[in-house]
Amino acid sequence: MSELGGLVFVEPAFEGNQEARVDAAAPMFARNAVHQIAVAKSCSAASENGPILPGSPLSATCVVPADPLLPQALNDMLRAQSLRAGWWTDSYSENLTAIPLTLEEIRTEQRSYGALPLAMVTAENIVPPGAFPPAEERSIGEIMRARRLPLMQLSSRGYQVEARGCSHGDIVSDCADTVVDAIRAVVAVR
Amino acid sequence: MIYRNALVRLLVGLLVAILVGSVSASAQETPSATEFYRRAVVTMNELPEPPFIAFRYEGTGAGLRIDLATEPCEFFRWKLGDARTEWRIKSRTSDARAEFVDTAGNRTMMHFNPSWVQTYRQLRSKPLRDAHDMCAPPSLRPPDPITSDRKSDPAVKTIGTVLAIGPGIYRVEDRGSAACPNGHAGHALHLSSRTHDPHHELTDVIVEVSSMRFCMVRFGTRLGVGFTSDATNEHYFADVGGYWMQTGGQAEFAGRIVGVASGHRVWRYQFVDIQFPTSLPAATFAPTATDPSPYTHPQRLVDIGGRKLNLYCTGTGLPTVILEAGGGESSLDWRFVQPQLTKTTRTCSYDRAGYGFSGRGPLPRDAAATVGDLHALIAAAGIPKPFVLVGYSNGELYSRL
Repeated sequence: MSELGGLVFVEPAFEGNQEARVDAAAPMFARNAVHQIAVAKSCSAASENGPILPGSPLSATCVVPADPLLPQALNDMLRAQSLRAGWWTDSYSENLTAIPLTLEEIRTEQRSYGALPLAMVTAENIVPPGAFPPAEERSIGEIMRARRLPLMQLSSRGYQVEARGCSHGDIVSDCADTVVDAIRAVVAVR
Repeated sequence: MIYRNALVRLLVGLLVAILVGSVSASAQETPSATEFYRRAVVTMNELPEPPFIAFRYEGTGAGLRIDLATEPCEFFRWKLGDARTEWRIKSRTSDARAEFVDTAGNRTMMHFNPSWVQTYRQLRSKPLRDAHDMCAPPSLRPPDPITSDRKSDPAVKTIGTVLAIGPGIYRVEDRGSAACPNGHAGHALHLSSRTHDPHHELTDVIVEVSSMRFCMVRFGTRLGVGFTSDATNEHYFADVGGYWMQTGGQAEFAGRIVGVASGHRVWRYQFVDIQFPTSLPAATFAPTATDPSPYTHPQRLVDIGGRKLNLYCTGTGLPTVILEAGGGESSLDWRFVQPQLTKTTRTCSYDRAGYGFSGRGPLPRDAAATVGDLHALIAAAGIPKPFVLVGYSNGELYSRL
């Protein structure tokens, strides 16, 4: 993109659920991913043919559960979205079936950003503490940390900020201040 | 003695410092006030800090009270009137996020950390004089200067106290023996800025003799012109479970109208039942719900050639920050980030095709399709350049094309 003044990567993507290395190091994590993919696949197939009907057997699987920390109005919006025709299909395509294509496009485009301001905000934990056995948590963390290091090196001004106490899924809510500070820093040095 | 200019003042200050230094070197058994202060500052420079602190805040006002304000930003709002306040507080020291729960069960998120490190940070962020700037975005100060390379204990934070409040900044006067608020024997010192900088607000400390730590620090400043208020803020410290914690304090305002006293108001508080949990659920520090309305209906539906994408832009200024949500997520991802960034610059989030309130796009939804949509959206909506792209999780992939 032209006129790019800076980049901020927040908990950058990882291919953990598709990697043999993660499968071997974190079998419970891998099994959980396989289950989620199976759910997404069945919901995707169902939503292709139209809205998922509230109360139907599939809705119990495909409706996103309410988040007790969200206002009712937002939970209602998310519920309606997950029942809508095509939502699961598009999401399944974006996050699973089209991911190999996406990664190939990224590799083809791989470039240096010179001295572009670049901040990478990573969570202290990839997965919430206690969600998986400690050995798996450590393994996942080590694999992801090693994978992300080259991202920072895409710019000579790249640097990393750690959001302590947060994990991959909650960093933009529970550590929003850290994310905001990192973005402001990139905006300021532009 | 009248100093004619700042240079003379500086030279005299240096001379005094040299003389004091040589006197203290020759009389080690009775250190000067400056040397005594210096030793205490060095002791305060590295103190352990727990990851989490849970405690109860009890405050009582005489003509003064405080409450918690979250709009237009987070701050402790001073109000007139008597009151008694109690909160249960859980603080995460890494970023000073704290959950306040009042006696009625109402929950508010603020920045608060009762350890010495927080008081030190207040000293650096000019707590009283610049209170009117409380809603301004935090200044991007460089990292705290490191004055030691001792890092064996991760709980010990090197916070650069020597450079921030050391005797190079403050002139020190001996005020004799004084009791610490915890009852231990202490020694009082009065401080004044060597450069008469009104932002050097530390006016008094009491040093606990047995530990050489500050058991009381007092900030002071004069606010206003004509109608003025002499404001002081005292923090009390003591050892709690091996950590040097704030255990209470008081704020005092003495109003004057053209030099004549017009009122005196005090707020006293104490922290009780201080505990150090080894962990707390992340949800404890989740922000309170922001206004959900931008996410419950479309904001601006932009036509990108037969399809529409939902765009939500707020704030003014350049560069424009563009927020790319994570996989399977919509602009809702950014509900706690965008309201804060808006105070800094123009900020836009959007729903990718098929998400939120955007129409579906052709399959497959690979990066080329997504990035093509974003380019079309920027052009169609006239979003001003340059951009800072922010990608979360899978959103990072799209921000790299």
